[in-house]
Amino acid sequence: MRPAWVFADRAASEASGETVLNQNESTRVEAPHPRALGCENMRGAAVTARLASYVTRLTRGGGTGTGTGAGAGASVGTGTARAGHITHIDRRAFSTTMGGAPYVPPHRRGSTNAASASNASNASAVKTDKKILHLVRHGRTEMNEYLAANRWDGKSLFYFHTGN
Amino acid sequence: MCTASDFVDPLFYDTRLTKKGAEQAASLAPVTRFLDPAPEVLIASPLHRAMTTADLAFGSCQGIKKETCALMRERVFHASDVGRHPDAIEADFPDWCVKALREEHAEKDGVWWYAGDEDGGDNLGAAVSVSGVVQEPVEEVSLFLSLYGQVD
Repeated sequence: MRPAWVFADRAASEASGETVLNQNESTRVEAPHPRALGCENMRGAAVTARLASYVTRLTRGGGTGTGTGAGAGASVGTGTARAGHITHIDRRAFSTTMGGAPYVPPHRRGSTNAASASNASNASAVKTDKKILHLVRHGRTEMNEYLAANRWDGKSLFYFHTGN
Repeated sequence: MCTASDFVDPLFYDTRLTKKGAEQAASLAPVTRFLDPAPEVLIASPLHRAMTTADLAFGSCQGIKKETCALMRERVFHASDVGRHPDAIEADFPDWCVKALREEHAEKDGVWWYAGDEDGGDNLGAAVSVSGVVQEPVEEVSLFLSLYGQVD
């Protein structure tokens, strides 16, 4: 379970500093084996418990919640939170930058009709009870511009693909 | 072309968006305004560039919660990836919630970015995080988003 977007995001756009609106797939609700969540040992369980507690704190405006561990689940507010996967990361999304294809949220995709796909607000609504995760890359920074002028190709440390 | 040995870090601590970067972020606003369902929460790295981008890109979304989370931070390559204390972040971004960030890193006096080894690391320096260190947050952020995304 390693979200490729974290590194791909940086490697693809560090030098260019382009803003990327990522067309991730929606968060799939699953109940994976604890081992898949890195919970095969006490440390993994502790991490899961800590994150569940963290989520609880972030969302406690909706009520009281309690964290739990080992991927078994966490009660948050009036609802529930279960450990699961972020799945189906669409790597093609990283080429979608300013001037690229219009952004279409994942739950509205599936049509090959360019007209409908180009306007998310007018697309036919597809009801979903899943949470949608939109990832946005930050805009160009002063450091992006410096790196563009002073490439850092320290392959002995990290492979750094500028994309340019 | 520079190599790792002759690359000079310009020490742009917590680097800022350029004018072009701000324009890029703002250009997303017409898209995010019509997202359906409307966003419930913004979660951004505590780095200035990330929070500023989020503000500009989602500026037209009313009533949205804004949370900053250190799990979203970037790997520390240069000084530009070194963050600031939650108090400083709160001063610049008063409508963002930094409470969880502050509580999560209270034991390290609010230092939420990678700042060297646990034993005697230089909390003010831009220590380059090693792969074994960065891997854990990457996996944790996936789990965090899974948990957050499934809150009913």
